[in-house]
Order: sequence, then C-alpha cells, then structure tokens
Amino acid sequence: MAPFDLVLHAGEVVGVAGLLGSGRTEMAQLLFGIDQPTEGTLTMGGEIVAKLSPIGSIERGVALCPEDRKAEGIVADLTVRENIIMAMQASRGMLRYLSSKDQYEIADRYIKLLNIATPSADQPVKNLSGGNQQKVILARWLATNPRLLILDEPTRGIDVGTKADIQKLVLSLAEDGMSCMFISSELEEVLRTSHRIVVLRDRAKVAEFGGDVDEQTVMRAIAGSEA
Amino acid sequence: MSTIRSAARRGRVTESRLFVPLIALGLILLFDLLFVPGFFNLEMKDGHLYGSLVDILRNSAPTVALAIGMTIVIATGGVDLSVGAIMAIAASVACILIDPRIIGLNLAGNIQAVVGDPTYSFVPIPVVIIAALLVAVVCGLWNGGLVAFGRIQPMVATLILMIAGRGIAQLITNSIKIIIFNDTFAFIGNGFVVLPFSLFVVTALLVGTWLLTRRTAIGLFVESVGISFRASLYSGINEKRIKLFAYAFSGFCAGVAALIAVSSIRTSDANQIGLYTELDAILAVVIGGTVLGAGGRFSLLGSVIGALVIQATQTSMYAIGVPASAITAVKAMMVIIVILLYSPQAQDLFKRAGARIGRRQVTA
Repeated sequence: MAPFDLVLHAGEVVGVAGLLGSGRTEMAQLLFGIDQPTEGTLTMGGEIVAKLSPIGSIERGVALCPEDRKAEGIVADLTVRENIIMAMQASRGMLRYLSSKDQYEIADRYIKLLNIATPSADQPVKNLSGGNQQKVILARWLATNPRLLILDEPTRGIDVGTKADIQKLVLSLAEDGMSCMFISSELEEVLRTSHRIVVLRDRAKVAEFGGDVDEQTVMRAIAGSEA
Repeated sequence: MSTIRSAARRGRVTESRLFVPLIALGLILLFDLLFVPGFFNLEMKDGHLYGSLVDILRNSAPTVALAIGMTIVIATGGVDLSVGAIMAIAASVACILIDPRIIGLNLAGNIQAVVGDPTYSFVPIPVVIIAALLVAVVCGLWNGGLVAFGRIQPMVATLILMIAGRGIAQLITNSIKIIIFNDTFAFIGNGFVVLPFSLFVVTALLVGTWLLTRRTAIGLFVESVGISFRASLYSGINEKRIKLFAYAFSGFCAGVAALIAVSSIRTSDANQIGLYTELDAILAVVIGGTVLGAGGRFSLLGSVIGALVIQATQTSMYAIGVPASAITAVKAMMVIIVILLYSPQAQDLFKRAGARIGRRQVTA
C-alpha cells in the first residue's frame, strides 16, 4: 500500500471506491490495526496513536466490519447473543464478564433496533441468513459505541431489503455524529451513501471527490484513464 | 398439553450435550449389574467407603484432572499430547524435593536412620506441592508459547515435550526411583475422608475450572478462538493469550494429576507415571462431546463423565476377568461405539425415535 493521507470527520460518511485488489481492504485493516503500518502516523481526537492493534482500536472507538463475513466476522457456532457481546466483552477484559441479564438486554436491544430476523437471542448465528448475520456483526460493533465505523463490503451477497436497511442505518449513524467509512464495489451505492468519496487504484489513493460528483468522473478515476 | 410439553422436553434431553456420555456410562453400569455380581456393593470399614464404584471414582481421579485441562485445549482447536510427560516431570520434582538425599544432595551421615521416616521431607509439603504445580505450568507455557507465538501445529508442538519430558524427568531424579515415605504427601492420593481424598481434589478442580471459564469471559473466548480465530482476532480477542492460557492450564491440571498419581504409588517412576494417559484424557474429552480438531463448544462435565466411562469400562473388564493386555482392544471398541453415537446419522436416529415416542403419547 502506497502512503496516503486521509482525513475523516465526525458525522460524515466517506465512501471508498476502487477495483478489487486496489487496496480498499488493506486500507481498512491498516486503520483498525490488523496490519501494522511501516511508516506514518494516525491521529485521533488530537492524539497520535502509538501502536495499532484491534483491541486498542476498539478502546479508541474504532470498529471494523470485515469483508469476509464467514471467516472474519461471525463465530458460527456461538449464539446471536454471544456474537453481539463479543467485542464489547473483549474491551471490558476477560474477568469483568457481563451478567447474562445484561447480555440478553444488549442482544435484544440490537435485535429490535436492527430488525434481525431470529427466533431468539440463543439461536446459533450460523442458522441465520447472510443479511441477518451481517446485521449481527453490525450489532457487535454498535454495542462498543464506536466513533469511527469502518464497513468493508457490508452489502455484498445479501438481499435487497437488508442492503437498503444497512445503507439507511449508515446514514442515520452519521447523522448522530458517528464517522463512517463505507467500502463497496457497487459504485452506485457508494455515491448514494457517501458525503465524500476516495478512490483507490493499484494500492494507492488516486483521487478524492465531494459527494455530488457524477458517476462518470469516479469511474474514470477508478479505471485510471485520464480524460 | 402436558404430554406435548414432556415430548418437547424429551427432544431436549436427546439433544443435550451430556446425552451420549451418560448413555455410555449407563450401558457399562448396566453390563456390570447383569454380569458382575456384587459390583454395586458398598461397605463402610473404619469410616472409609469401599466398593467397586468407589474404586472407579478413585482410579479415574488423575484422568479426570487431565481431561479437565484437555477440554480447554481441545476447545481452542488444539490438543495436548504432552500431559503424560508433564506428569512425569512434576512427579519427579515433587519426589526430589521431598527426598533429595537419594541422588547425593544433603546426604545424611546415617542414611539408614532417616530412610523410612514418615514425617521427613526436605522442604515443607506445601512448598513441594506448589513447586510441582509451578513446574507443570511452566511446561504448559512452553507448549502454549510454541502454539500461540511459534504458530506450530498443536500436535507437533506438544509432541516435542511428550518425547523430551520423560527424559527430563529422568534427569531430575538421576534415573533413580525415589520412594516416598512421607505420610502427609501420600494422603493426597491415598487418604480417605469417608471417600478417597483425591476425589475432593478433582472435584475442587472441576468447580474451580467451571467458575473460571463460565463466570468470566474466558470460556466464551476459548470457544470463540476454537471456532474461528480470525473472527476472534477481528473482535479484539487476544487469541494468542487465550491459547497460552489453555496450554498453561492443561499443564496445571497435569500437575494436579501427577500429585495424585505419585502420592498414591509413593514412588517417582519417570518411565511409568502418566504413561499413555494423554490418550485417555483425549478420549474422555471426545466421549464428553467436545469435538477434537474443530474446537469450539466445550463441556467440562461431559469430559468428567467421559473419564468415568473409561475407568468404569476398565474396572468392569478386570472384574469379569479380561486380561490387562486385552483391555486396549475393549477400549478401541468403546471408541468406535462412541464415535458412531456422535455421527450425524445416529443423532438423526435419536431425534426421530424421540419424536416417534412423543407422537405416540400425544395421540394416546
């Protein structure tokens, strides 16, 4: 990944567009601390972040919905409830275990809020549809009360209704003051949900547009044909 | 209405994680009831309870301790082959601390006068116990380090200590079998408080482990790491620390098993203590319903019942006169039966049978 500058603001959705392999996922993983940067700094709320790690990111209020839902998102055999509280519990540490009453309360709140279709909070998450699994992962991150929510392909492979739900949710979260980063291969979706669009090509940031840019311009930046 | 509800409850019984291990234990006890006269007799002598059932519980104590630790390791998706060797090391450490004279350290002038003294111990017994457990935990940390940070396959990583461990144990005692005369230490494996004292030790271990894993988030994190370590990593769970904990804890349990085993035979026998017990421990966990290789959901109680099933089979076979050398064949048969009971086909059969009985009651 080539060095890049990126500024994210509260209450703003930044879309990330680019072809498959252009470095979008790498950018997300770098921000969340899955991968370590070789150089450069990350400043958040005026403070320079010294060491990046997933647990550090969670404590700073950064959340990442990973691209590969099955391998990096859900924990298939655990229940919906356990999947939802996981990240929150990780930030509390191993010993301060949430009581089962609190766990059910949190799970039920997000099941209702995100309209997750599940018979109960005790259902293994593997029995849910793809879209509902994605919502469970969103719930896991919303439960940590993040300031920056990074969504890597949150709408891939899920039904149209859920897709619209997630897009709406992202916008309403931004309205409430959350900063969102929205990565998607569907340009139309990126244009619709983002206030600002960053374009990546060949693992480098090549362009940045305002939200009112037209599809053709972005497309050209993605493809790399200067016109 | 009540029959429908009871049918629903029956469905839950067959789906319970303890269903298969309990069935297995029940079958063996049924076999004893039919073919071994007097198997269930219990006798009180001098305030001690005696009988085959007590023997089963007592003889299974080290395996139960190992199985508890092994459950946690297998739940993280690993396996610990070195527990038998860790037992040998911990046993040697305990024995050398009780009686280092035998290898020439602090050799008393008049050795005949002190050998056989039931109160003699070079260091206080609590220190002996703590040191043995500490050494066992260090062995576990070594395994955990190789698996978590060295990224070595658990089977290979723990194989190293499995092979090297008995050599290390021999080095500690200078290849000499140290005989323990100290009665306080021997109480761990031989003592009675109505029931054998070792039973109280493993019960405490079981309750302690349950509290540690189910009253904190450790159990959830262990299962989560076992099911998907990448998803756990992305959720902020330190999967390396969880794995390190699992192997260290398995080492600790091996230390407990070693103390029970060595104090009950009163000899540090680095070649024999805990020999092949890793296989019994793994088998106990598998019978208990925790899936070997895949990791994930674990059941401590299932593993304990699994260990009892193994010991009950062994005791029953001895009782009907099967020679010791043929026991392994019986064990192998048991493994096959249990694995078949867990197969999706058998599970499906249980479910249908349960549903059929339920329907019959509802229509009647």
